Amino acid sequence: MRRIAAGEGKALADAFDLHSPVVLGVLVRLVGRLPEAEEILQEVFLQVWTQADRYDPERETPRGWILRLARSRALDRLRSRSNPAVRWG
Amino acid sequence: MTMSTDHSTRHDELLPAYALGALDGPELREMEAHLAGSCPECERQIPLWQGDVEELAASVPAVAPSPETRGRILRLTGGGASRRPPLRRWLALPAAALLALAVWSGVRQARLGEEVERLRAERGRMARQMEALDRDLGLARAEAQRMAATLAILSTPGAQTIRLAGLGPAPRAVGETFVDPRHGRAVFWAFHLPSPGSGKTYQLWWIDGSGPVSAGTFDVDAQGLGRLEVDRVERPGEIQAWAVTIEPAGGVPQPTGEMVLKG
Repeated sequence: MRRIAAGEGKALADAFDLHSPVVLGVLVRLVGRLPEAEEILQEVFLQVWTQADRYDPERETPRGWILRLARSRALDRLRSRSNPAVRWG
Repeated sequence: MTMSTDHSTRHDELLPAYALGALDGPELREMEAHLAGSCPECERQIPLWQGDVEELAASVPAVAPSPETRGRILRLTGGGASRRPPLRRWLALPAAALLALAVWSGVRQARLGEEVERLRAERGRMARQMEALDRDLGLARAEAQRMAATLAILSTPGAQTIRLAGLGPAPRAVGETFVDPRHGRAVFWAFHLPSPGSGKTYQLWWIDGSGPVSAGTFDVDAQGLGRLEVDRVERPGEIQAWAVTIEPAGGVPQPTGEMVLKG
């Protein structure tokens, strides 16, 4: 995460290869549709790229942080799906 | 005890959202009805969804992302190459504010530019109106001065009015000569006179015992109206007639052209 926060693209690629199958598995179970889950996965890793400096290694593991971001985004998507009137996207 | 419906893939789909509090409406009622009875599978999964996310991840099968998704991520982040260190937020915020300000300034400048152009056009229009009004005012003043000169003559004791009738080429034309014999002045008005033609002018004459004497030349406007002030009328008491002829532009010492008015 420190390397990603420093702007090292290779570090992000490594993190993606290491964690994305697990994260995508959770996302597919959460939102039920693979294309939508892959969209969220992209958003999550973009967030990792731009906000890696917010990661706190004393609080959780990198995978735990990425999964937490993924669950939060999936939850937003589920809420907007059940209440389309307040959807912004 | 209420009997639960059998656990199905439908419940698998709804369970995560239910556990995370993201269900409502008919789907929420459907899950509540399902859980009103006993469903061991749901009871096993709900704590997973509500609890530690890493434990949850261990309980679901991994899914490999498509190469397209991986490619998009790497492109968004510069193809895996290193980038400059990210701007600190305290730098990024003012930068974003400056960008917004620049965009706002550009939009505002464009709007102000349009407004300036509109006002410039309006100023031009007003200036043209003022010029037209000035011209009208000048014409009205000149007309008032001419009427004042005519009235001054008419109001003089002993003033004479001589009516001139239209002749051959201008039978509808009429003329009036107002003479102030005391001061030797006169004003002549012509009505319904056609244009004298190119290179020609109208010339007014008085005729006394010695013959015709030129009082001056005049032109007519589009309505056939002509006017001439005569500052010096010699021996008004001896004048026998007034006449108008068509003459070469600039006038002549003695009449040469056709007579159009006489009285």
